[in-house]
Amino acid sequence: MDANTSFTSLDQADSAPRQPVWWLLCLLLLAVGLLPLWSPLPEPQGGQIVTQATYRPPGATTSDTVTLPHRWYGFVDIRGVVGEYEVAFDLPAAPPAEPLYLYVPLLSQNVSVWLQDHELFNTETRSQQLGLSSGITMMRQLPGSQLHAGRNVLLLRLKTRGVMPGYLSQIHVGTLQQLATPYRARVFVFEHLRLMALACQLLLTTAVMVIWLYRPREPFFGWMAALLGISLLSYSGQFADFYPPLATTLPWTYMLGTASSFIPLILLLIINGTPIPRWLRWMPLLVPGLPMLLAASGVAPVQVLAVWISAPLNIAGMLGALGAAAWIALVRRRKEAWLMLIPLLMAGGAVVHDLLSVAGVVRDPIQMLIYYRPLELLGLTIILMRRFGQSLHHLDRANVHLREQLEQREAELSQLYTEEKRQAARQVRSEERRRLTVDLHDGLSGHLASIIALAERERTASIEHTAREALDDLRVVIHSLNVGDRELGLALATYRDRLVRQLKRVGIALDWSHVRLPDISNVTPTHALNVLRILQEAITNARKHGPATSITVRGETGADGTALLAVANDGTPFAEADGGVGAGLANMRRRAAQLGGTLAIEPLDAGTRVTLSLPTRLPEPPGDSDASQDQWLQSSELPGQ
Amino acid sequence: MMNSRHDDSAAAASGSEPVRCRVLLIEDDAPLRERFARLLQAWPGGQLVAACATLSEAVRHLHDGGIDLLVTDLQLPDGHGTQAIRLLRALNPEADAMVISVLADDETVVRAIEAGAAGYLLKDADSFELVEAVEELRAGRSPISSSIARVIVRRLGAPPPAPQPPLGKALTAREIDILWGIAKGLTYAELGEQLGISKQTVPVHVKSIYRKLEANNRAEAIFEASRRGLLKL
Repeated sequence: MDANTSFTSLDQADSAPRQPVWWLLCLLLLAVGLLPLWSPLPEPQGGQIVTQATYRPPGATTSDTVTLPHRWYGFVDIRGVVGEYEVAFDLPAAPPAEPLYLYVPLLSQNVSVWLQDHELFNTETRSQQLGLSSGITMMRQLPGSQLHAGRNVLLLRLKTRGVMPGYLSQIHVGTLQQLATPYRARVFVFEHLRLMALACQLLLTTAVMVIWLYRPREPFFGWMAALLGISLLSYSGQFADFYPPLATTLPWTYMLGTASSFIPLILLLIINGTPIPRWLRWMPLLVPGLPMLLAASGVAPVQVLAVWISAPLNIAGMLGALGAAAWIALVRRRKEAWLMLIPLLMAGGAVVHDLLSVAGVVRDPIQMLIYYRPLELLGLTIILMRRFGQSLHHLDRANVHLREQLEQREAELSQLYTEEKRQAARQVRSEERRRLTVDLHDGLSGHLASIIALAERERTASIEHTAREALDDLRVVIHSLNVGDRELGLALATYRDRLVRQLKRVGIALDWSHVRLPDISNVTPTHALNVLRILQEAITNARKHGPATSITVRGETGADGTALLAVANDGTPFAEADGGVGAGLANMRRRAAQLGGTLAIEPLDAGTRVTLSLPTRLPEPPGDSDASQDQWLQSSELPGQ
Repeated sequence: MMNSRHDDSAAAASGSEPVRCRVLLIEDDAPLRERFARLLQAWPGGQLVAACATLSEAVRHLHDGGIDLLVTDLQLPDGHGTQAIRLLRALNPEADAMVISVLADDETVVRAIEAGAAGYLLKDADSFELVEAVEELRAGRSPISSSIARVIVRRLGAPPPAPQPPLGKALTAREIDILWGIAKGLTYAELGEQLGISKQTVPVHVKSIYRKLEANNRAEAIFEASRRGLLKL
């Protein structure tokens, strides 16, 4: 695997699909996203339900009877406005056996509860409910001493601020057992879950930030870290509870938070391997920058700009990402994009819901985006981690592949090295042989030729004859030194050329053909010399003991595929009793055995035939080839004694 | 050309107009020189101009001109026989050169062929062999042994040292067949039969091979000389 490829490129991620795992991940996302649908929150079992209240809107002096749940709305002051509800419930004459509790499943944004001019409880002591985290639940014990049989009236002063509507659900009065479970469930969802999402996001932000620090050239990590970091701004309302100055900057932080609106689109393009257009790179600066500049220059109030410019831009970014995810998933058929498409669809739905909620079309005041934004991040995280896993997988495979290749190369190299060494040794040997040959040519051979010339001049035939024999024999030795593998034919031809001249001199006809001799492998100089010595001995015998007038040499292929070299003469037929050939014959047999072959001598009608049969692959020299060379040098002796 | 010269020698032998082949001998070993001189003097087809012991002596004779055949040893006290061969071939491209060798140290012989030699002779050759070899050469036929064919065959595959066409391209298909056959150990007769040519034509082809070796070598030498700046092309 190329170390330079970004592991966030899609081609590679899709190359190793793990179908079941992928489907499981998509299902998980879907299940988490649709949790509110298939797992509704528990409702109280018994107790009284108050469904009507007397409502006095903020600033009004008259009251109306309204049905609960009830919501009221208006662009409200950031400091907050209060609407008052009077709710009544009846108690039986007998005092209740257990303490009674007041339970409001959902309200927005804060409430203080009064009974007979005493404030029983104020939710604002826990949280101011600023920003997007609207919608809380409330449960409180009613003081038994101040309740009485018959009708009791509670005053609920509902306070809301910012763009959030005032909302009051139906009201329950009952025992702890009747009300506690639904209450705890809502506490978990409205308080704990939101904080858990925040905690997860913080953790994720840190993790991605660290990855980006260590791998800054991977733009995916940078954008992801930016998205996670900027998204944290939407929690600033919660932090305003314990750091009040944040409360006044909320519209500003909201505008700043919209910087992240186009980042999911950028991330999707990176995943798809599409180059990011220049304008898109500027969007994270332009989207918050433009309304903030307008607000700073006093064109319009911050809140108006936040609602009419920042929010639509935010939605545009989300729609862009949604479109891109749908395109990649449906048109380009990249399954991975489903992991983004699902949460983006849900987040889109949440935005629509939230807008309708703010606009008053939808009754419930819960801002859903705060739940679905983390889902979107979850989708991205799954993609990220999935690719991490796959990259490691690829890396492992690449490692195995590289290791295998390395081993293979090493083996090749060592083989090459061995071959080279062998070649070098062969080179040295052949160089030595060549030097020796040249020395013999220039020295000994030259001297012998001089002796022949002198003997010829002095007419000392026996000296000339011996010198010629010595020179011929030297040639046999030197020529055999020069014979390579599969070159037995060449050795034979060289000997033949010389023999033709010798026999011509003494008037013996030579008919030689070894065309049909099969190809013989594993020929070494030692082998070649042995073959030539056998032939030489056979010819010498034919000349001495024949006496022959013609000699025939044939190279043939035997019936069983062996190589046959036959020397026939027309002299006296060979007789076993002839003691004179004993020593020479023993030598020939010994040499034939060294060649892995056999020697046959047979009398003909007129003459004798010596047949040497050889395997087509000659035996390996015993032991190390260098040693055998030495052995050969020692064992080779001159014939004709 | 070959045939016409053969006719010339035949004419010379018939004695109507004795055009005798002028021979120069170079051999530093005195007994051998005397022996070869004796043999050449006895050859009716030729006239021994001089029997030299050194290269410088031979060079003088060569410059005097008129040498048709050079018979030379290779190792000389003041130089190498191939120098004499090159000079002869440069002065008279029609002249032939023959190397005397104790026995064919193949590489040496092939180097001599590249210098322009077209025949070789063993030092212990008797008068019959010498006369036969000289007359064959004068008739346009060159001898070749298996081991020399092997050396040349090996060069066919080897990349040429200079950007001249490789030897394998310079040779005809028939010439390459002949080299392979000889290197395998075939006799001229066997080879002739195999290739469907007369066994007498084989040595004619061999001479042509030798001439191409010489030409190739000259191209290489010229290239080498120009590369070293000794010669301007």
